[in-house]
Amino acid sequence: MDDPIVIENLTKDFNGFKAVDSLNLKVERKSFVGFLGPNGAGKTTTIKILTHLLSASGGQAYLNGVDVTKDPKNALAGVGAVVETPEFYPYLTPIETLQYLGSLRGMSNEYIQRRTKEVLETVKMTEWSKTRIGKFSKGMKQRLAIAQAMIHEPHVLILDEPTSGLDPRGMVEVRNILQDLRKGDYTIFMSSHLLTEVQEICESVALIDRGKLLAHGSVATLVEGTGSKDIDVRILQPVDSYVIDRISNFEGVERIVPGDPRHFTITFKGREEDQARLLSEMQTLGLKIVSFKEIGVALESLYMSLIKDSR
Amino acid sequence: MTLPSDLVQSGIVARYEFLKHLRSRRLLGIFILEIAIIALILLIPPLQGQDYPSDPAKFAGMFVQWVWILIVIGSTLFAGDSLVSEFQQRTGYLLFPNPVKKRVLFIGKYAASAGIMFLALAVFYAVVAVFVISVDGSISGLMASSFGLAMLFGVAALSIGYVISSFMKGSTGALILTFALLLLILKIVDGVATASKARPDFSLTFSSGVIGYIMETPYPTDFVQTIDFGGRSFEFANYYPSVTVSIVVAIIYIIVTVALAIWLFDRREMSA
Repeated sequence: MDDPIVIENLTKDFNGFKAVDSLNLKVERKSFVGFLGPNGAGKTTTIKILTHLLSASGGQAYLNGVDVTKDPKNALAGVGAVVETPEFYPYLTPIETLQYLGSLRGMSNEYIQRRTKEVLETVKMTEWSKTRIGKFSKGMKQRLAIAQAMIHEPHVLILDEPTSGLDPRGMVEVRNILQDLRKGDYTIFMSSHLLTEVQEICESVALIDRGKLLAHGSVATLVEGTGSKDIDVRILQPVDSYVIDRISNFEGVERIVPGDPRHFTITFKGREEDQARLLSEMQTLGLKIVSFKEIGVALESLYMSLIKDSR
Repeated sequence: MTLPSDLVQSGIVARYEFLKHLRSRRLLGIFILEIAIIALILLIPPLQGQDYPSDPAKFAGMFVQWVWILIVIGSTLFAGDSLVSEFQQRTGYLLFPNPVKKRVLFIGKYAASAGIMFLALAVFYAVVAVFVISVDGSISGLMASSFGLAMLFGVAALSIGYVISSFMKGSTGALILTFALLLLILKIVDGVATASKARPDFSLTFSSGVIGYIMETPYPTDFVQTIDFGGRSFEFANYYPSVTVSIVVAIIYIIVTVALAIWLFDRREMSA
């Protein structure tokens, strides 16, 4: 079993309500997988079972080959997790917290000290390292939560809405931290409500609703499966209705939604080569294109259509 | 990197839980209460124009009879919300996803609570001993017996606090229930049983009386008091806990409540 996360027929029954219903999912090594679904879909329940916060009613969940439902201690050894927004012990400082959690994982004092310095730098918390956490804001706690998840250099990170509750700057910082992890040997399984965030950080997604897996695959493949994507276009000069009409007639263009005179959104159907051709054709109209960018609505469309089909 | 054994992990948990208690205002509150009790007992005899008892055991006994109050408050503060807070304060989301068994967390927390109870009682007995020596020139060896019994009943009371903490949903409710059970409810049960002429040996509060009675020589024995009122005679039983039975009762309380608390805590989930 090489895949770091393997879920087999996982079920969680809350007094007759199946929050997770025979879920099967494999997360490959070094992949960043977004775990999507509407409220009550079973995302957090699945993540809580994976992190031993909930017991399973049936099935197995393997972390690095060890079934967390049977041997949580060894299954969680190589895993870092941030579930919901954890609270910290207010009487401890970040250094003491990391020392505590590192000790529980069997890290030596020297190793803990080195990693504490590194992870606090990563999450930009060095200057607060000796301040008691009771005084910290939610954003600071969230960054510290990510730091504690990485303290032991785990190969698997399980994150439940890692940017939840953060201000826009905090969200960007956390996303940057996660994107930086691509350089290392990390497998990330993260749930989020923010589809743009998932599209930005993860190369593949797993969609779940009513406890069942609806789709799993790379973002590109799944989005391509829907056939259409939204492209945000900004032009240097104002465009008139004639130009808009001309673009509307290009192959693959389904509709154009104008914004201001220098900005519009194209709903486009086609492959990447078709998309490149569309850009060239627009340039032949003499348009000075400042920006031509896919936006997350395509994943949103996929999400909405799959959720709609499942209900 | 090898995971530490359960024993080592429980030691780590105990160390940080102990640190929590040391840094908390609750421990400070217990120390202030101890000072208040000692000061009050030292002030009353001079205010009434009386001398302090010349018998060291009798003098120490005046302080020791308040130990159960300290134990009740200590159990409430150091055990009552120890487990439930992990769920209500959401610190469980930080702690439980680590490779450590819940029963190991329990043992660490429990050991830290017992350690802090020991500290609180040791400080009280030490201060009392200093005053007894300064007034009477010596102390009674019975103080050591009383201290040992106080620790035993302190741990038993903590165990009850842990059981309550393992199933209650909120910290405040757990604290109130622990306090009320140990100070009021069990005392009422003792009173009802005694009035019915049934020895309440099963009760932890009744048995805890040995902490103070051990200071008396000879050790008090049961008797029935007859009071005539309105032409009728009423009999009132006065029961004193046996030292041996009390020790057994405290040990049974510890074993049963700890087992129950671990079982409940092990099964409790972070569902909210």
